[in-house]
Amino acid sequence: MPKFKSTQDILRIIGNKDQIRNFGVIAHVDHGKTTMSDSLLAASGIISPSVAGQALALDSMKLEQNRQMTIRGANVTLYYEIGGKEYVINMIDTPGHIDFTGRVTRALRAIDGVVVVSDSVEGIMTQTETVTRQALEERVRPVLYINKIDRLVKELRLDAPAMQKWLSNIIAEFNKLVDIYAEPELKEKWKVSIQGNSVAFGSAKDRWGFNYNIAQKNGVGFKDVYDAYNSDDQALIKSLSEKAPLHEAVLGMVVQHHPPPHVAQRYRIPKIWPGDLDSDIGKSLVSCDDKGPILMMVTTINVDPQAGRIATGRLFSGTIKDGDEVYLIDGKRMGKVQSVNIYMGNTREVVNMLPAGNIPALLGIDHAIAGETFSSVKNVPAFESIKYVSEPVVTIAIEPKHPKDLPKLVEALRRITVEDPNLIVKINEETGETLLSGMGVLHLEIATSLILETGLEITTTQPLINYRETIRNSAGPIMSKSPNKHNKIFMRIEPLSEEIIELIKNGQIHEDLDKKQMAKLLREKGWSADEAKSVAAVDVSGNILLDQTKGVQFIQESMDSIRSGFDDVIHSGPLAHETLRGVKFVLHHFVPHEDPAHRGLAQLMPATRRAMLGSMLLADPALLEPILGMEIKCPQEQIGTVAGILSGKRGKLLNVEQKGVISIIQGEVPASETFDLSEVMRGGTAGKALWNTYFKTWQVVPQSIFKTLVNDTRKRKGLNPEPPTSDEFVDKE
Amino acid sequence: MLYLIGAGIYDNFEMCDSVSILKDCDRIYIERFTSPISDHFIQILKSTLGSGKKIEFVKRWFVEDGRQILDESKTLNVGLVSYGDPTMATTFTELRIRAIKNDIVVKVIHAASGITSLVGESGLQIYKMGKIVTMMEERQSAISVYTTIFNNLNLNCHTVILTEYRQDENESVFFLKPNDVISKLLDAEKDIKYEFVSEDSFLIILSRIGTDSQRIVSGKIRSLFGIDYGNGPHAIIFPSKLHFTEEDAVLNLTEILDAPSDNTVVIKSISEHMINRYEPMIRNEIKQIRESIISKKKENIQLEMLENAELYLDDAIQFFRQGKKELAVLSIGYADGLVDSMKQMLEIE
Ligand SMILES: Nc1nc2c(ncn2[C@@H]2O[C@H](COP(=O)(O)OP(=O)(O)OP(=O)(O)O)[C@@H](O)[C@H]2O)c(=O)[nH]1
Ligand SMILES: [Mg+2]
Repeated sequence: MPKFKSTQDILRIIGNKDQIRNFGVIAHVDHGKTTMSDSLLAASGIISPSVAGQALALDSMKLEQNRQMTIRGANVTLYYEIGGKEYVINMIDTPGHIDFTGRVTRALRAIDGVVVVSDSVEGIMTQTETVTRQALEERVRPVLYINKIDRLVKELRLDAPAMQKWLSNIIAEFNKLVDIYAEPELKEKWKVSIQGNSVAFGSAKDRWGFNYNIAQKNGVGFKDVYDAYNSDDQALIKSLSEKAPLHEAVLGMVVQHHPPPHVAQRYRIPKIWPGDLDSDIGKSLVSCDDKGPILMMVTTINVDPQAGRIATGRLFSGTIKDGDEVYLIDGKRMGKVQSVNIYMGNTREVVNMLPAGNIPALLGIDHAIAGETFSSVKNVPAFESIKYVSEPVVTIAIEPKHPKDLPKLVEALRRITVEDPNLIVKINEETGETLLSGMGVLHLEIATSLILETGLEITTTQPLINYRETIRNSAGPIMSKSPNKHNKIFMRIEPLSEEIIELIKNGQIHEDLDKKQMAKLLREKGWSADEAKSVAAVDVSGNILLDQTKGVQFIQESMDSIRSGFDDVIHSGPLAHETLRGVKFVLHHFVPHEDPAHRGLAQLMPATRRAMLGSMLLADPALLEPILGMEIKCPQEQIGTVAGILSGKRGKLLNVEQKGVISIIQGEVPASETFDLSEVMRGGTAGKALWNTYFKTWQVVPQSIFKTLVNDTRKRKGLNPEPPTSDEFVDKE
Repeated sequence: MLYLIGAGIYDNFEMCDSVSILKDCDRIYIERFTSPISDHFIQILKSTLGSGKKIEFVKRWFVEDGRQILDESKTLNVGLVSYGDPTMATTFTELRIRAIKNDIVVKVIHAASGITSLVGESGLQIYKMGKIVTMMEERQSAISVYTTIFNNLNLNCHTVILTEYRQDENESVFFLKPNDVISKLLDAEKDIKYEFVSEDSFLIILSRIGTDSQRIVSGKIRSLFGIDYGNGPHAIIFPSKLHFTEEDAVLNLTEILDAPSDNTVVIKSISEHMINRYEPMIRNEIKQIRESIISKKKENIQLEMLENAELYLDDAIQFFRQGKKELAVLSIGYADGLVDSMKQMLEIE
């Protein structure tokens, strides 16, 4: 029986940091994170054991329970006893669906160890690899839990020796990831093994699991597993969970292999915090000092109808108390902590204060966003924020059925976008429509059902694809004049390399970056010194403006106006008023009017716009469409059907892998072809295929549909169906 | 009563008879965006031309675009009426040149210009005027205005500051107020710090020149700031050192809040600003480097290099005292460069 612990007990125990662990659970989609986490929860005394395994208490949103898929990371504080010692274990359940990886990375910042959950039949999958790599890059130590062992017997009909052989392959495959992605000095230490007690096997659904120690101590083994499932005797299965409860296996590994916070921070802080380690705060961080200044990184924001915004994250240094004032380093403002809480299951408990090394949930800081750093001292470096620029690819218009509900809809949208930064709300200024953009059709379906849950009646339109505009050639310099014809802007244009776009996307290059550092990065990527130091604007969609003018008068005072032209064009390209991607604009020369009255915003912004649009049209412009990656699981005989469906949708089959009786197909398909994908797949495969999609890449729209697509998109936006020509923007003299 | 009457610039009275010319025009356009033409003026013009003549008010884009005007001018007589002298607005010159390139004959009827009139009304000499500049509401424009005044003062020239005037979509008009101009200048001073604008700067503020309610006030910023100057248009003159005849004129032509004073007294050239800023900085660095060399027991050659830097610095001061400003800046730059590279060599932050 799990022990019940009160909040008071918990606070007493965490007085000793050796007895704290912060870990998370990561896995490929559907491999059983949530089911496993719930078993752990049950054992911690926070929900009753009979409900665990079905209740999925961790998936606190009703919607998640329906879909059985976790869409946000929640934090839980558990209690566990082993070897007569008490432990308080903070657990973070991270989302597995690829659409939401931004949150996985943020959650990783707060934890020191991960339990990687892997389905025994499917083994190490793409998302297992992605999240394991991310964990290793953050110096988060992994242990492995191989789940759904029952399937090996029920579906693959493996006996005990065959099971062991099969599983050792999965372990080897996992260790390969450690070999590739862990830092050299950690590699050997961090590889997992059965004898080292860093691998566990089990069935989360049936709530049993064992690692080497438990197998030895309690006398269970694969033979018992085989017998239980081969006979399908419920009593035998139940006795497995009594002899070898899952939580003992998993939490045993966590306590043994995951470091307590003060140990972890010694080697993790130098990796994840960019400040001076010899400064006061640096020393306090490395030693996880309760008496030091407060430094906390926010990993999750939730909005509670009563309590408002709740900022949850890892407190790395100091002690946080009710009433404390903290600086929001990125937000450049102050906030006041109303109440310090911890999570237990999906309830929050008031604790008034928490020391370093824990995961507080803070009420009252209204301007906090995920990724923010709180500190009690001004001017300390923030945690290198985990930058993740989302690129929503699908948009729907959304409106309330009853116009009077509009304020409620706005409020509901505000809430879901705070909780999920990958959802973006915009108002179409021409039509007044409220537009919601997300990472895929599924993502938007989840968002709309969240809104429906609030009891609001809404109508939504067919999803629209967000395209990008780009160029395939260089052009210019060309010249455009301002409306009063007294100013000339000379613009040159080139495609931006995929490498640079990537640097922008992952936040390594951004506008606030120190000029010297930016120049250094760009030089490493082969830019000339002259270009590398002339960056005037960086746009997160992957575009850059360079100022290559030489000694031109008034350029500094005019840059804001020129910049406005850039900002305008990057959101509305010449072909179809779509966002630009991968364009390098070079302001080549500028001939201004002498007097400010004739070179203000009203003159320079349109001149810049025209020069940019004109040069794009001369540089072989193209439309990019979002391509979704697909992973499809189906019986072998359906492969042909699935391949047929993919090719009918301009898609591709990239790889097929056989895992036992099922085939796992990797493919890709343009997002614009996925609206009826569910129906077609269900129909074609008689419901036998399961799949998920994720944003993969942008790809040039094929010539065969280019013209129609441009015309249709323009028409939809109320524009002349024919795109303009460069003559309309380029001036001759 | 004494009337001073300008005869214009024409040798033939008829040449400047705009009314007869407009009577001959097939199209008459009036623009009020470069500067305001009063409703009263337009009423009189309309009644003089008679009800048969249509007058069209046109917007900025219409004139700037100019295609319709030029097209019509190929076959018709088109008159475009604007405030002041049309050749003082860059927009009209641009239109005129385009017309000439299209073989359209252009005739300009000159009239008193706002700029020459306001210079005249201030009592200052046209010979001492420097670059003219407009202060806009947009924050950035203050930089141009501030640096223009500074450069003019260095040449001992006065600066005429025009102020933004615009006609908004709904026909309402906006004039930038003299008080706003003053605060923008004070703000620019805080940013750029050439140290010549202060509460003691002496200005002349000219409002509604040419109208019945014309008003000209002179004084120091501390006295001028906060006064309500009424409707526009406004202009401000930032005078340089006044000639005694100018001082006399200012005393007699303007409402005086403070006796005229010399704005150039506080002017330091950019090179002086640079030398003042760099000298203590470099001296201090030399001191630090010397300590570091001695404590790290480095070789003599480095001490020699440092001494060299110090000599260049002394030279710079010497040159500056002799008025050889370019040489002074060159020397101090060289000293700074030496110090920088020594810091790198010795790995000093
Ligand atoms: N056969 C079997 N099925 C299991 C086991 N554990 C979980 N499942 C089932 O696998 C499915 C996915 O389980 P979840 O716990 O929701 O998986 P998850 O990894 O949290 O999924 P996401 O949050 O969507 O990534 C559910 O239908 C579970 O009932 C197990 O041990 N054996
Ligand atoms: Mg889940």
